[in-house]
Amino acid sequence: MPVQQESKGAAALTAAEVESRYGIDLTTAEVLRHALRYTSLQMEQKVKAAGLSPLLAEIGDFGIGLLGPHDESRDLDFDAIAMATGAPAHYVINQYYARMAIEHWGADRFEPGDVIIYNEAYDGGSHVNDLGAVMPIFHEGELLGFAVSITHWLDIGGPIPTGFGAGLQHDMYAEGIRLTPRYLYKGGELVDETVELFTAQTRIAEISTNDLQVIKAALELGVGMVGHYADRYGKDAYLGAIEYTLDYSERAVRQALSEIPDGVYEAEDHLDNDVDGNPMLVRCTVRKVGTEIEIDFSGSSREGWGGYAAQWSDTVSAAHLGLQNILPGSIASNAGAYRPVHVVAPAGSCFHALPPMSTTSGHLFFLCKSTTLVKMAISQADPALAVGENYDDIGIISFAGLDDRGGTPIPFIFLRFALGPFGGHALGDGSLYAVLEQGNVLEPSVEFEEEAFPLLFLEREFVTDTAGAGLHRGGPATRSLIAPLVDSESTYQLEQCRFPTKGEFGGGGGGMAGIRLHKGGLERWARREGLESPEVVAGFADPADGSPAAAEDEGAEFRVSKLAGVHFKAGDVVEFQGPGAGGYGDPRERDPEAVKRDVRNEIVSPAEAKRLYGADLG
Amino acid sequence: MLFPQPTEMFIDEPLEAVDGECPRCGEATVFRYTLVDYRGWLRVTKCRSCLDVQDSERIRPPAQGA
Amino acid sequence: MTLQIGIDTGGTFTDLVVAEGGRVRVATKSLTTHGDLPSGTLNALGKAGVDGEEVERIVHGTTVALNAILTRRGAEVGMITTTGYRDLLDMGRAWKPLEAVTDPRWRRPHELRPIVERHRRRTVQERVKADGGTVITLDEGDLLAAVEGLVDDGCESVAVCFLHSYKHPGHEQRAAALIRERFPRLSVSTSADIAPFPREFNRFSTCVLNAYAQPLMDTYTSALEARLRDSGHSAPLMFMTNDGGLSAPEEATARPVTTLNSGPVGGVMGAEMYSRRLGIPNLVGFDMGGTSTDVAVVADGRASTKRELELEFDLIAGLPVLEIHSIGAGGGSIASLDAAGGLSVGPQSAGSKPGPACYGRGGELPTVTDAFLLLGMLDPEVALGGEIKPDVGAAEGAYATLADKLGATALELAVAVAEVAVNNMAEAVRQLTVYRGADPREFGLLAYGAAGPLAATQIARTLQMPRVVIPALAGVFSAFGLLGAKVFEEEVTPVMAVADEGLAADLFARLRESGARLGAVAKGEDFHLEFRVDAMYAGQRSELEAMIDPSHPEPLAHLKQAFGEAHRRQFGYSLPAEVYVSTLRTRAVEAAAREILPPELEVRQEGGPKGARDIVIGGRRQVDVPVYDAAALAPGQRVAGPAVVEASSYTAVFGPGDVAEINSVGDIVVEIQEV
Repeated sequence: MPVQQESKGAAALTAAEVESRYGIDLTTAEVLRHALRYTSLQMEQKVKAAGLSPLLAEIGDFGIGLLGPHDESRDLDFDAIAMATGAPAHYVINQYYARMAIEHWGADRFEPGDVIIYNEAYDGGSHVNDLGAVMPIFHEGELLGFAVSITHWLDIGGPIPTGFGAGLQHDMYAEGIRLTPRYLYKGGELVDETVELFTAQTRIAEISTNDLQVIKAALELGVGMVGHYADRYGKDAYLGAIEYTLDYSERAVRQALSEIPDGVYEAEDHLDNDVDGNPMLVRCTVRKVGTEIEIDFSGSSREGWGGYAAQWSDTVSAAHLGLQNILPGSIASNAGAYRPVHVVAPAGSCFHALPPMSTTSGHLFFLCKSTTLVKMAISQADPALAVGENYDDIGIISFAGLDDRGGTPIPFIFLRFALGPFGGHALGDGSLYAVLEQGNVLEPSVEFEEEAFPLLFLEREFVTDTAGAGLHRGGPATRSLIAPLVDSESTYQLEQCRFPTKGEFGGGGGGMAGIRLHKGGLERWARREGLESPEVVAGFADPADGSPAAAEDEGAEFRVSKLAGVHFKAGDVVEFQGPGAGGYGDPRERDPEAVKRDVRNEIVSPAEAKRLYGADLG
Repeated sequence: MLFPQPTEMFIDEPLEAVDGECPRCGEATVFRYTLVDYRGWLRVTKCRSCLDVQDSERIRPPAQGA
Repeated sequence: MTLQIGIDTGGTFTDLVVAEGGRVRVATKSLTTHGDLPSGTLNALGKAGVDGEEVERIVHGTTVALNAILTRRGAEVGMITTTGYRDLLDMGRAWKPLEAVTDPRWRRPHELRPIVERHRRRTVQERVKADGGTVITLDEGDLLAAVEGLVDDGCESVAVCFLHSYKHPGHEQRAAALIRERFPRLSVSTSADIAPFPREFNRFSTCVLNAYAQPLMDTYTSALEARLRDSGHSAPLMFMTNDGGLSAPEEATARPVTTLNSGPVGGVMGAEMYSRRLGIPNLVGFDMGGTSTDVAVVADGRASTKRELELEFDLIAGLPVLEIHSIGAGGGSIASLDAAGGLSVGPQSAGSKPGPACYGRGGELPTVTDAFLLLGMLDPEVALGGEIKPDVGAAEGAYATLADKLGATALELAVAVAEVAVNNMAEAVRQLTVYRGADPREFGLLAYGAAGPLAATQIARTLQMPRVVIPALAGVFSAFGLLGAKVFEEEVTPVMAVADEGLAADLFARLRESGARLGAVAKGEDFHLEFRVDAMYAGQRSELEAMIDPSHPEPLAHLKQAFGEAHRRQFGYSLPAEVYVSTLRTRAVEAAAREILPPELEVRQEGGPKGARDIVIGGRRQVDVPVYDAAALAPGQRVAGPAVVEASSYTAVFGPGDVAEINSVGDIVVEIQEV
């Protein structure tokens, strides 16, 4: 049985070593290494340009790239050789999702022009919304690898519009359509009955018809480019370049790992609530020795009903993503980069769901928690690496209903992802506003959204005194006000409504998140009367009247922060505030000029400037 | 395959202690357990102190019945 | 005959071209005088020797506004915006650039180097809806108090940015009128006026950049006009705009954001001229400079356009512009090895200080120019840029230091660096062709700029492009292209609706009315009308422009067909889906043909090579490659590769299989053939 590979030295190979190991000269190796990356980026652009679903075109919730062939002499087994993505959550997953689908289908069964699709989350996937696709690459009759993709479907059928039904979806049978691998295209011909699964069973028939074809076009682009390079340089050179490219990323990751001090590092955090409203403890222990690392999620809560669980493949993705984030510099994502990492995900924990648990919603909040745990653990290894906790949640709010503005009522589904701040770190303050590491969303335009949906986006601004304090502070919370203009059914998922984000090395936590409702508030807002007496939707409340309460208040009840099937009325105002990010270092050491600037810009109030930073700027 | 929800509130990876010290660092006990590497699930015999792997066997993911 | 003068003020040089009756008479360069830009311009004009002659117009491409923004030397600027939207500039579009996707320590350029800090962003009570309904009436007292606060804080310029204003500009217009009345010395930019297009972040960013650059542009334009007048030049001064049009000084001063890219746009206009004159409908314009390479595409004779111009990440001008894809790869790009042995070429650049190692100014890092020198593509005896004697030893030393780490020779590494650089640039060309479903085998490559002609045939060969054109005036090509610009007036009408039969008919009627209005304004000047819709398939979120004939008897069918064609050209396919129309644009374009030819070459004997040297091309050494002097070549002369042609402002290298022919005006047209 193969034992752990001998640690490959981190130093660069000489030109002679490249020639002798891979059978190609350095120039060809480097040109092809760059070319593989470019090809995957162009496949990504194709999806973004042509996709009709906002989840693809703007939110970028997909991954796409290339797998190499199966070749035992070169130790290649359909490994990921180049991955591009609109959302880094999808960087790693095809190493499992696509490969398990190929194994299920049978590598010998593929023919040129075939596209196989699948969305079985329990086979190396994330959740049923994420549709996987593979297209074989042939060169002179031989299978040279695959073009692969994973694309988030805005709606995948099932009882909840968008599929996010935390609390309502008891188990996997309540999620949506589930597809074992099957033909989307057979020998270049679109298979109508597969398309009909989407047009008949999802709420987005037209988008699906277009986007299924866009996926094929993007995969075909990759197949074509690889064919071109194999023709130009020869098959052996292409395969040599694949080995070279994987080993290159492996060397880069091992080099970066060697710079983390050896040790055992632990972190723990909580998810706001499970289906019963109780917080869920999550833990992680990182063991780092030399250029090897093991990330162990033992001690975390068991999997929960109602969507409070995530796939092991997601957890492994998160482990890699957390590591990639905390390490300085960026390393091309391919199987070589993944080699030095072992992940322990105990079966039956919330990080390793077993059937029949539902994982649709858990994919969002647990993926973020596992990433954060890894960052928190490694942060302890070296202050130079530490980052304060960011708004680590793929928080969502959705509205669905009938748009009656045009006379004929038309059904609509709207889904918005929260965006927010990053934590302070050794080099500086955290970003005020950016996408969290799992995604790379292009924020939709409010003007476009207000044309398309019966919603008003009244406000979206930073909130004073929510940034985690520190030598380098975190970014502030962002607060949004959204008013539906028609009665709507809603889903929301948000984290940090019960516990604040954490700072590092003396940095403070950020302000807490929450969702509040101002019944009929639109009228008062329009009359500039100010919104008073909100009712808490997610967060701590006084049980007597639902008004906001502090966590430490006697009798305060926590209202769960993830729920589907909630109803809002036309003219209500929903207040959705994310968390502030954690700070880094002792606030008393912050540069007084920086504190002055924070006060001038109303990120920090004069009172808090005095209390936290010791600055007298009244 | 379907599984019942675990009764324990917190889940640890079961570690089976294996006799014989680690050949690399001399740690008294090594352990057999499961983990995920870049190609999938493995049942390993591994030192928890220096991360040396003495033995590894490719297995099916637990959800598919190991 | 009257003269036309094109002046392009670049980072290092100010280029000037004089044309008389459609034929270039003078082409010259002068150093750009930073800190006193008009002097450099006047110096160049002095060298042209046109004093006393009648000049029809001076067309000016300038980076004044662009540099002010990039160096953050613009005005003290404040922002007035809709209640609830104070932080859009710091939020950007939320996304992160590719290199920062897994970087939790990254911050947005506007956070690190703000144009308008939060305390100078004030919200006022106003709000309208998409359909124009008012939610909150503009509170005029609130507005004036906010502006007063900004003025007290030292603001000299203000940007007024309200939601939905591009469709419903009433509140912005009222606000601007009130502000101008109370604060007459304050510069005021309103977003609907500057960029009448949807997408609030794009429009507000554009408006803020305009307000930031406006006072400086005013100073520059006034100074330049005064200096021109004092030197006896009374010709109309026109500024080149981002979309290939021309603006009078008042217009350019009020809207400097329309001139940000005016220098490189000259090159694109030149590419269109060459496409027409040489009968090459599909042409890639390739301008390789010291720090960056700009690529543009002319397809079916028309340059492609884009919806926005990116200055820095999420610092954009959201206006239709001629599309120029810029990559951080140029002659000064530095080659480096990362810890794992990966070779990168750029994006770091040695710039011009210290510049490549071979400049002998203290640069120690190996650059692309150094590689070209070591490979023999550049003559070690010829001054670079006409000014700097190359230091081959320094280039060798820089390469040897890096090559040692790989156990390779300096020359071997130079080969690898050149190849990676060529492939990076080929990738830039692919971005605008292959990945839009266009086949580069159907395109020619027009190469200009300081280094374009050096690598052009290698890039063409990589992409299987059959032809390369090196224009006679490759060294001052943007200034030359400026003279091809035509004056046009444009009227913009927002729509934001799905087109059905009724709406399509209505939109076509509105386009015809626009045409009539613009025609009345043109007052007897010869012009032709162009009609465009900016549209997308319903559900998509980014517009594409399509040319429309509003007199067509079946409006909806024609709209769908025309848009489908545009979509197929851009993305490679069209859909049987509904079309969502975002904006209508009508243009009246001057009809006068603006074809400019380089000077006719004198008839002379075919010139033989002036020398020979070894050159390494595509990894192979070519021995004793003949070197020709461009000035000695005769019209009709053919030169077979491998060969080098050296001109005063460029060097062109041809490989085995390339066959070059000089035409009657000195352009070199190269057929790329498989060996």
